[in-house]
Amino acid sequence: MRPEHWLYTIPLRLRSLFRRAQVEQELDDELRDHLELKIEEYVAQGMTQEEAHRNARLDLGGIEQTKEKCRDARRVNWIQDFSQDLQFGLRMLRKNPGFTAIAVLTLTLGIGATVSIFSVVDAVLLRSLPYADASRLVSLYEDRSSTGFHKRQFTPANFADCKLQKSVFSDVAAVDADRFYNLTGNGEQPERLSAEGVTHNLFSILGVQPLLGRVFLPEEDTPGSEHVVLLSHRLWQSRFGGDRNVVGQAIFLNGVKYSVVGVMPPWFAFPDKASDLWVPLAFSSQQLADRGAHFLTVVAALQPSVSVARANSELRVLSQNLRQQHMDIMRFVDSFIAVPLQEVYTHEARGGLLVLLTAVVFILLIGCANIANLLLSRAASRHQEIAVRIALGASRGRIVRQLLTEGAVIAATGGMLGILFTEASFSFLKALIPADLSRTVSLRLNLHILAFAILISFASVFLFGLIPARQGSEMSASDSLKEGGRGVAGRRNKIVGSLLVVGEVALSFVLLFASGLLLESLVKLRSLDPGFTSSRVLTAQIDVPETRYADFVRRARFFQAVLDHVRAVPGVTSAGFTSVLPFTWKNGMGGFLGMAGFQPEGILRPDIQYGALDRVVSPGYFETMQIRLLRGRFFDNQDGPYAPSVAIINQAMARKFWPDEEALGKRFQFNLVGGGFRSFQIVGIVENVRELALDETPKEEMYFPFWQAQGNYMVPGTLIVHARDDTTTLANAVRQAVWSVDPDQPVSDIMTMDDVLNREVEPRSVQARLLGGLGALALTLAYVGIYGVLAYSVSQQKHEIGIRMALGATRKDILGLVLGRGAKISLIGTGIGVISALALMRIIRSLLFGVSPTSPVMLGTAALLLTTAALSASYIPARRAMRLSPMTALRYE
Amino acid sequence: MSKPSDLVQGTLDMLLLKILALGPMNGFAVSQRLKQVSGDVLQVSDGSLYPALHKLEQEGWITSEWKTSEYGRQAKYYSLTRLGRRQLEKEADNWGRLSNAISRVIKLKEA
Repeated sequence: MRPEHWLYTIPLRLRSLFRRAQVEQELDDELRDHLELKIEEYVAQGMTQEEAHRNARLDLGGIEQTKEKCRDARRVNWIQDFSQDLQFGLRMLRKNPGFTAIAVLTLTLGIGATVSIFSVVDAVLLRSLPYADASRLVSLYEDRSSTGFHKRQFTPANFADCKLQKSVFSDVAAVDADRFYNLTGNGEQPERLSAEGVTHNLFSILGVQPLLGRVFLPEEDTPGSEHVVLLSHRLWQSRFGGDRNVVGQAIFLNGVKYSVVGVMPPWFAFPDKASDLWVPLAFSSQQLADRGAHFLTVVAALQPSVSVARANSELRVLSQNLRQQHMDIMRFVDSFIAVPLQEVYTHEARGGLLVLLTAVVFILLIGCANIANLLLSRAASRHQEIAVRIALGASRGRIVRQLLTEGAVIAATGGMLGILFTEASFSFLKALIPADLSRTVSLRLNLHILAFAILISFASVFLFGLIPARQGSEMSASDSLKEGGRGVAGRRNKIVGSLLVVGEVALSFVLLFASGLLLESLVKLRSLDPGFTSSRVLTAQIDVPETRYADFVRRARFFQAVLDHVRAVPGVTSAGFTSVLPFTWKNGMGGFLGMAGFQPEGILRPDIQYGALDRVVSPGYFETMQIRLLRGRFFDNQDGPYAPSVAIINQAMARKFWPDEEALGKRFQFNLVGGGFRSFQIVGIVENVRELALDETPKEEMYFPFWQAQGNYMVPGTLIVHARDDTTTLANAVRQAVWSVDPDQPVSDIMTMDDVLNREVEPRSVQARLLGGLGALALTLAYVGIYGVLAYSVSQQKHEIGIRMALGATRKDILGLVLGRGAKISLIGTGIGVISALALMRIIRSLLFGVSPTSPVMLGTAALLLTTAALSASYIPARRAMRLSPMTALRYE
Repeated sequence: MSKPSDLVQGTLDMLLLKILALGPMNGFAVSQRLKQVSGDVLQVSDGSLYPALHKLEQEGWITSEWKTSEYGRQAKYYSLTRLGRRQLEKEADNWGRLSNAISRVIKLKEA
């Protein structure tokens, strides 16, 4: 039955669709025919021509309406209607270029901003890991909460034990991150390369294939066979010119010959963007039994049926068992924990990104409210046109559809332009990507994002189109065709319009307030004293490989020689070395915090490990960084390897461990040389330095002189130079000074301390600036919204104003009337905004620094700003109203 | 005088189909014939006739073509299709059952 049915009806429908003119003509002819026949019959019955005509027409009812009903019966209308609506909509929009421009511009900004931020969210939070089956990957840490650090790196023995847990993990790999090698040879400049020692199964866990060659084989994980290397794409291009024959070539790392077995793809950057090379992590069985050295980053793939929660509980059990067996070494390990790999990179960025996303959605809502108001005012002025349509037989649904189609045209245009805007914004938004992800993640338009853009374009049509469409269609035909028939519908429009603007003002307030808080946090942060000086200070990385100097004395002599040469450079006031530059070692994947234990003598118990940050510095370090000495003395050249072991601590450490007495002169034990604990005497107390981050309180810290740090545990590889004037010309001179001591020693990462400081605050700075920009945008949109709604109401109320004037109202009264309306809208809006802001601000508490989320000063500032803008937006329409002459106002219809 | 427009729309459809089963004719002729055959009882208003015919055509139960009428002018003639004939039978059956049931109820003896 069905297929036959289609056989008849499809040609018919197609015809209705494509031969519309002809079909219309036929319908017309048919009805005309009928009329003629009816007239003939009536005449035959005895009526006159005119009577017959009239009766025939009356019988048929309205010709147009009957035609419309026939068309309805054909049921292909929705396509015809749509194309009709589309054409009409385009024509209307072209006739009102001003309106169209504002609407499209507003929507472009709203959609563009939202899609841009969503792209970043998509790239960073949703798909930042380009590995196969990334959701199964976890990173393992040792949880040592009792020392204040929750994520500590693994020891080899613990790693081996985790690997045995086959029921939980399908495979476990380890990475010895942040190794470095000096690449020499080929007659070029020596280059310091960042390398990772990895177990061979890392690549299979991540599901990564090399671009050229192969990854490591299991045999290469044994000592003796590990002199093979994988190049990063960047290194392959820069140092080897992208030569496809590089596989099999030999290169010299730290003077040892390695063979290149492969090149990795351009986006591969594990564990972070600094990785230049990968070498096998060849554990000897001795090393594998080491349960005390924490330097491994561990990545595991969960078994298919195992959840992260289950993995964590299994790990807890495992760590407790191991603790029982090795109580002495594992005393401070609370547990092992597994964290999804995705989270490891992104958890810091997540809060900020979500706040930004919320902000742009607000902007979109505000923009839609403005467009809705614009459409409302236009719908009211088209009431006559709509009335005629209704009289001609249009149903209410039809009218709503037509008005919505106009809205859809605006939305489609805004959407397309918005996507272009997004594309253009990528270069600016790159700064929002967390540094570690900047090579794996790139901002690109993809299907996700396009789908999202289309979705919100549609959503915005409904948001701004529905209300005006419904309002517009609600006018009854007779009401609207009457003269001056704005009446009830007009008043309702006014209320809806005002409500929309009140909502806009509230949203703008929240945005302004939030951006104000972030900006204030940024200012507070930048004005903090980090404990050292950063202006005119140059830093450089001089990493000396273990194998370069046969013994400690020769190595120390190298550093001393470099210091002497650098100090001799004209323009240098002081120089020094440190093992770690402030802000450069952080918590997180691959970061080594350097928390070490030491047993102080006397006051505190000798059998408990305490924690403090440890640094090895040369004489001159404190002076170069202008870190203040509070008591005692700095290190000098007398603190040599045969002199008594000394240390300098910071005030936080003094206060924490010797709270009621003078710490100067006290002793504590520390395992600096890697052969056992030695006792050191405190000879100096310095002020606190914000070592980890600007927004973290300074932790306890201890410094040791580099002449006494005989092991390779902490090598002072960072050179700090303080210049008398500007540092820009100094870089070359410093390099030359180093090369005059050893021409094969790479000097890398030369940057000023100011740069380091700026890098530290950059994410926050970008966030604050973005949010500030969005707040300004919101303010502008709200301004336009208030202006629009007041201007419209004034133009609609000219009649009423004229009457008031005639009845004795002065110009001032009229001015006050309009301004008053503007003020009322903005006050109500601000009030709602304040309440919402107070409720929502808890959420961004974690992003703030030094500012309370309910800061009354900021509330007041934002309110003042908004109210001023609102009043100035009201002023022009108010003045226009004031200037109306009563006669013209009364005459206006 | 009851007008078919008072009845359910489906009844009108059935009546039109039956009239067309008698032979191809144009819209005017259909309404005349219906009036004539039913003794002026059933009259379709012109405003409902054409939409109904167009709908029947859309469903595939009748088909139309432009023919030259006896007066030499072009007119649109509707005729029943095979599908339409089946639909007519179905609806006539339903109508029969319905009207029997109503008759039975109406003919009940009152107390």
